[in-house]
Amino acid sequence: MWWTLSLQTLRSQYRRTYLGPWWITAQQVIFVLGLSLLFGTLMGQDLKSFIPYVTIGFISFSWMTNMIQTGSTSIIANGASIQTAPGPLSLPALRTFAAATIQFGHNAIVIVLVMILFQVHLSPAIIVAPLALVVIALNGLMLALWLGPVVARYRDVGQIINSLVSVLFFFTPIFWTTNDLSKNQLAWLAGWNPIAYLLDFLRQPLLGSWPTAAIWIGVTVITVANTLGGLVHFSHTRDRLAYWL
Amino acid sequence: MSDTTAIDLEDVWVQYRLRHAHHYNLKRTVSNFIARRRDEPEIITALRSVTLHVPAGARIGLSGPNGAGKSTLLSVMSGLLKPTHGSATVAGRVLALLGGPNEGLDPEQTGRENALAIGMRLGEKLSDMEPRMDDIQEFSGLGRRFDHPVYTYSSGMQVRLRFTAITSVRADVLVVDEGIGVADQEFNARAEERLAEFYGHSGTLVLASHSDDVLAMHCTTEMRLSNGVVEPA
Repeated sequence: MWWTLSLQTLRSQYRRTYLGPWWITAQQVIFVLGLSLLFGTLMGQDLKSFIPYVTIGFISFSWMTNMIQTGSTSIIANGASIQTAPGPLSLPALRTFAAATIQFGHNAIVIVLVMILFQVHLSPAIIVAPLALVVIALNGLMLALWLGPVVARYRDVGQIINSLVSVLFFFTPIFWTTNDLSKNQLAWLAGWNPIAYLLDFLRQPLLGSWPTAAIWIGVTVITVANTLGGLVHFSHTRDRLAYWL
Repeated sequence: MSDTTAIDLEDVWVQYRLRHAHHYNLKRTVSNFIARRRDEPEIITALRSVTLHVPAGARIGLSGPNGAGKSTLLSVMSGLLKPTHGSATVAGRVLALLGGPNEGLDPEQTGRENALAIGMRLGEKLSDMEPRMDDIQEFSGLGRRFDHPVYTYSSGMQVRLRFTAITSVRADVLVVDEGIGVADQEFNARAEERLAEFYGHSGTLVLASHSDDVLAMHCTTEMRLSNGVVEPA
């Protein structure tokens, strides 16, 4: 039900445009190309492998940050319906998660095309990719469940998230690799960035290698903590949500 | 709660913590922190110890001045607002016509798409809603405008669409805040027919209105709220 409603909302967002949600896809293609060419050249990277690396990284990162930003404002954005229409209170989180995921579904076509175009070597590790997609989606949903009520209660948190998300782009291995930083003082940045773990959990299998043990452990810890946080916090706050709007 | 009780409210209190602009003043917050002071939020009491047992099939008309707590009481009855104290139990499915006339309508979507979305948000399946579309189109009197985007509708047309879509769903309790008798005469007459059908299935109605005529037409029992308290009959 929430999937159909989200699809309908997405369609209405882009009604009166010809490209619809493909506009976002087009914007991402332009951005990825610009980023890959500039940083690939500046850092002396082999573009044949660097472009797929950046494409998968940026498109997956956009999916995650889209889920973070829309999920965190899901309660506020659906305030009117929470106050006037009886229905499950988990619906706003489900709908924002679904809308971001449907958008990612459009953008993912670029990943497939780039992988074909640049002849990315596939390995049996690819079997981890579907699991990685499910894990990222689950994390997005759970994050909306706990962050939505927090932002409804403490409006400053929404502003903090926006600031963090924009800077997160630079501190996530999208147009640089963790190896680039390994001997640098900033190496700890990727180690403490949850998005970096989730990103590599998807990107490494798509680029032909198995996720490292550190990635498996990191992703497990993040997912368990986020799921528990989402379920516990949402069930604790659901009765008070209408008072915070 | 007995089998014949539709709505059971027991010592219901609703209190809001209202934070004024000065509660969000950073300078004041920091100086309070240093001086170990606290600005307590203002407590607004919207409902005070309301106890009600509404039997199934009753038609309650709520009246009272602005700010008396009518909308808050309807929100509690709809399950949208949990009381801060006391208990509220409603037997069966509740439909709520609350908020503004176009509440819950997406202006970019057509009347048909909005009607489907309203039904689905109320828990109906897409396959259950689709066969009702012809009836909703006819009852709302929208004709071919049913397939036009809602931003092209007049406010009266939006009222007709919303009322028809919500009441196309079978329910046990209907909670309405000023939502009846606000469209044109022809539609009001049709809306009354639909409500009569609802009463015929022992549906329970709670209607808040400032119009004595509307209350007299639809309700059998009147209840007056004042300052968050139900006044004795």
